[in-house]
Amino acid sequence: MKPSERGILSSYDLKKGTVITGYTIMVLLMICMTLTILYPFFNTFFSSLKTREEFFAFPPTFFPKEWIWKNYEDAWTQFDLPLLTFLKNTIFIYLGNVVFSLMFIGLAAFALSHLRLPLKKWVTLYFFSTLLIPPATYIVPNFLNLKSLGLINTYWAFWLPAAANAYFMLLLKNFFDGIHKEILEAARIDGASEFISYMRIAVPLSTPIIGTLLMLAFSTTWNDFYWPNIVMADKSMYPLATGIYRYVVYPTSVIPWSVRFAVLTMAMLPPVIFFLTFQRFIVRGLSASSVKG
Amino acid sequence: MEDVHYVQTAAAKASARKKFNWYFWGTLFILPEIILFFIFLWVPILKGIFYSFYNIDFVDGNHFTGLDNYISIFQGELLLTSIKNTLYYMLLGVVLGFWIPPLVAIAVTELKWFQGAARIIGYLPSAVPAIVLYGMWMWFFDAVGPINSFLQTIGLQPIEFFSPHMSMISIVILETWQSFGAATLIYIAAIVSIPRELYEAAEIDGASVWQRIRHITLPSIRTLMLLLLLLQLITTSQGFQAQLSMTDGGPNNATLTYLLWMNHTAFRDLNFGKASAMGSLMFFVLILLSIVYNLLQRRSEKA
Amino acid sequence: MKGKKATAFSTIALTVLLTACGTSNTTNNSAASPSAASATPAASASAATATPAPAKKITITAESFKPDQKEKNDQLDQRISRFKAKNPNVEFKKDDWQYSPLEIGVKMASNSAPTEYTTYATEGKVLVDKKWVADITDSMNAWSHAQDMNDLLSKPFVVNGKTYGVPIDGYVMTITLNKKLFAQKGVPLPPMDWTWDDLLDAARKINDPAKGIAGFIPMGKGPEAGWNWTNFLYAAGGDVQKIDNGKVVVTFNSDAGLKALEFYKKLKDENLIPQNWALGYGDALSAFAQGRGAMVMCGSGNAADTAINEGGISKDDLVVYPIPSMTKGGKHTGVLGGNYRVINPKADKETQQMAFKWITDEYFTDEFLTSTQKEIEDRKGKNRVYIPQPINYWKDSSDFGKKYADLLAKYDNVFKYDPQLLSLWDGKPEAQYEAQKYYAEMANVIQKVFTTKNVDLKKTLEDTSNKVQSEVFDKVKIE
Repeated sequence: MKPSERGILSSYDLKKGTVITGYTIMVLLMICMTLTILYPFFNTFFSSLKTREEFFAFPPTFFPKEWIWKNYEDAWTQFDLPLLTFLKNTIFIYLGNVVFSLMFIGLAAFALSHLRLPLKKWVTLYFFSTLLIPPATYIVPNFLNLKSLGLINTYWAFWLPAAANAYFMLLLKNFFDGIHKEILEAARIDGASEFISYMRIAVPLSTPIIGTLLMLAFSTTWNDFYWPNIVMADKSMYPLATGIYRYVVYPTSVIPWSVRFAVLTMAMLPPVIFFLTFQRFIVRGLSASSVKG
Repeated sequence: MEDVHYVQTAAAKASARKKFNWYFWGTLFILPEIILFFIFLWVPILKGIFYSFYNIDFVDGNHFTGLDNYISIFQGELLLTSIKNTLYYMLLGVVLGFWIPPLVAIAVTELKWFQGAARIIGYLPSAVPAIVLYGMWMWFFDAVGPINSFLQTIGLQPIEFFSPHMSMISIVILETWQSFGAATLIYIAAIVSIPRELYEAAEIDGASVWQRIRHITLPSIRTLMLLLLLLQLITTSQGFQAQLSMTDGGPNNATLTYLLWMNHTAFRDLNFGKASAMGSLMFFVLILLSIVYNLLQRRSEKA
Repeated sequence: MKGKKATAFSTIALTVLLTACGTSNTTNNSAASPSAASATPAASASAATATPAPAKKITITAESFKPDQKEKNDQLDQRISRFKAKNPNVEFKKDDWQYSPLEIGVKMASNSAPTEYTTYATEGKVLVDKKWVADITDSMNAWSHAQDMNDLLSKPFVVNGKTYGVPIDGYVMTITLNKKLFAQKGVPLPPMDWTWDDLLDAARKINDPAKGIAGFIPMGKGPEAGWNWTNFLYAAGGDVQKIDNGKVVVTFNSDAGLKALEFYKKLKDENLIPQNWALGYGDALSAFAQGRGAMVMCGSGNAADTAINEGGISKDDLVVYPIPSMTKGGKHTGVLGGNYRVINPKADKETQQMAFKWITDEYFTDEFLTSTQKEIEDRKGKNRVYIPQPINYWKDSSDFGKKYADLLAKYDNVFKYDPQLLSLWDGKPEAQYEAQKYYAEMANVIQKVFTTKNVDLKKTLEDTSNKVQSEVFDKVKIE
């Protein structure tokens, strides 16, 4: 086993009996966990292929008796659902969100971690005390605020507030704290400006957490239906989650449930693909302590 | 002599300039966030707190009612019930759910096959639409659903998942399953940054697998664990979504958390003033607690 | 150095200000731009009043249907063009927002509700109290067809002699039975003028907990649990509240209330209800549609709608019964409900009047019959059943009523109610004051009954009624 392949365990460990048993149990548990997690995906997919009647059969069947692929065709054509527009909106909102939030939050977290600030304690309190108040308290004032700023029914209503995220700031700051000061000192002595230190040192060393935050931001944006429902007035501006909430799963819809689940199955695919591709960012081997002696 | 003095002042000047540089860049970096937080968080928050002193009427206009909203929170027994339930929920969240992400993260980073996919397995529930999850859990917890059927086949009694005793536990199980993935990802990111040389050195020194975990892995993520514990406590203190969709606070208010009560007040009773008061009250109490905590810490440091 | 900071700051501030200024300009020129669908009816109306046109231009945001209901939207478009032909000074915008009690608050706060929309009977008092619906008494009195309206439906939206909503249709709560489950177990259907004991009897015979099938499905989660239970309170001859000397006094802690609670307790003790008591409105109807219960309680046609059109139960396997009477020959009293059209009070007077005209324009006309016909045919084409409401805005005995009945008789995909049902049932309106809060409190009681073995019913009822009296009813100011 190459040195870069080992973690806690090395190839020597895996020759011992106790370790093998422990490892096997661990793998079995992970398989069980995986099965329970994959269950809703398969369930939704198979339900989407059932007939209207079979969907409500009791006891529920797992595999459909017949695979009604027409449900997918119906989902696209029969009900006047602009699914691609919704998808485009979601993607736009997401891209803007990550660009703004990582840009601004990154700088701020770096400042809190490695730079000097006047009244640092108060600034920290200013940011993190916002976590202590439940968002429901200020939904209505938040909306009225956005309205008076004229941001209603625009993407800015998402992009700008996305940068005001204390969670991400806390997490990024925590990771930046883990970067040894000596590296940045060395850069400073070499004449690099703070900004360059930030871009060339801190950011690359924090790729794991940044990749993680990209993923967390994706699923939050992807699933958010309530806030866009309030903030966006035009059907053409709704993201996918809101579109589904308003037009697919609403109470008196005439869309058969199996067709609804077809839409839901399609809505589940992009996040999964995104996660699978993105986890590569969380790469092993970036050492944050390349200081000798 | 004069040369040394000159060097010293130059050095002093250089370090002063360096400090100024630090302050300058620090302020510049943090300025956009300060503005954004102000416009998009603090203004609505302050307005929300402001509303709590009013009787909110969207047609006739609001009128000032002073502390009335706050007083009405303390009337009736829902305050005590909801606080008790919320604390119970937070406790269950820590006992049942806090230790799963680090364990899974450690396990995942040790996998030799399919590690890429395994990393995100825990996070997949966040891709599933809420309505699917809701139906799924209603079925899982059903009296003739998979869990109870399994229990009966191995000869055990079926569990009534929505009894007054079990409801909150059932909800915590549900919540843990749905949200452990996010924390797991964060732990994985941290564990992956631990330099391998440390493990090699430890192994050469004869440390067992468990000792390596105890003395290298866990200490490295200690600050992260504390941070995530704090975040989890903050999140669970504000929890209400699962309670709303699964049991709507029942049976008989057994799962009525503080935030769910606030939600009812705002959207069912349509009393936005009182709801704002409830949120603001929580805010004040938590700020007070953190100040007290800070003071106690300082006192123990001095002692 | 300082300059850099200042420039940065001012650039940001400027951008924010420009965005604000830019978009607020567009809002002022709302009439033309399509993005101004978010503009309030009041704003557009006042912008329109500025134009010196002979007939005042009025903009109405009408409630439309979600995209999957193509047929209904087509009908709406046709109706709009017919209306515009008669009233050329009216512009229409459409909003497919459907009323939801959870969203109405935010909608009113942000002034983004449509000019007119449909809501349900339960919401009547709440909306009137909050002044979220317009007073349409004058328009109503001036309307030629005011006398032809069905009196049964007016109550929920008439407060202190003033009218706030136009009835569309209504129902009395009923119990829907799944004949198939009865047949499978070889149980004969009870007679339509059944009693509580008949219900218990039938439920006992069909109940099969091992298979997850329950005899009877009452709603157990959320205020709808209290709503369901109130039927039995009414059937026992009880009432929720009464007005005594300008105060609201509880009356559900009466003997009738106790009997109704005992009935629920019996259901639980004999295990005749689903083991998962936490069924909300949607859950109960889904469970019924799955065939997990023989009987479910809700508004007349709704369970049938879900079961037939979603679940695929054949319409011949369902039958709608009135709420059982407590004793043989007693009254089959159930909660009255219905749908109403209301007008946004934030619109100005002229817009409100025009909106009233828009709502009632095709009442009692042949166009209404034609659009109903089209809807039935559309459903037939989609292999769905049309479920009419049992009570409508017209009087059944009138000529118009007869024309409607004839239309329905022509189609075979129309759900038919047993005529005995209509003669047996007795609709009683919901409590006038704070009904929702009472329902929520009763829901707690019902959950207690469903989950606690030895619950003292009388004490629980007394405690709850005292609580509701002191915390809810005492705070009501009767004008």
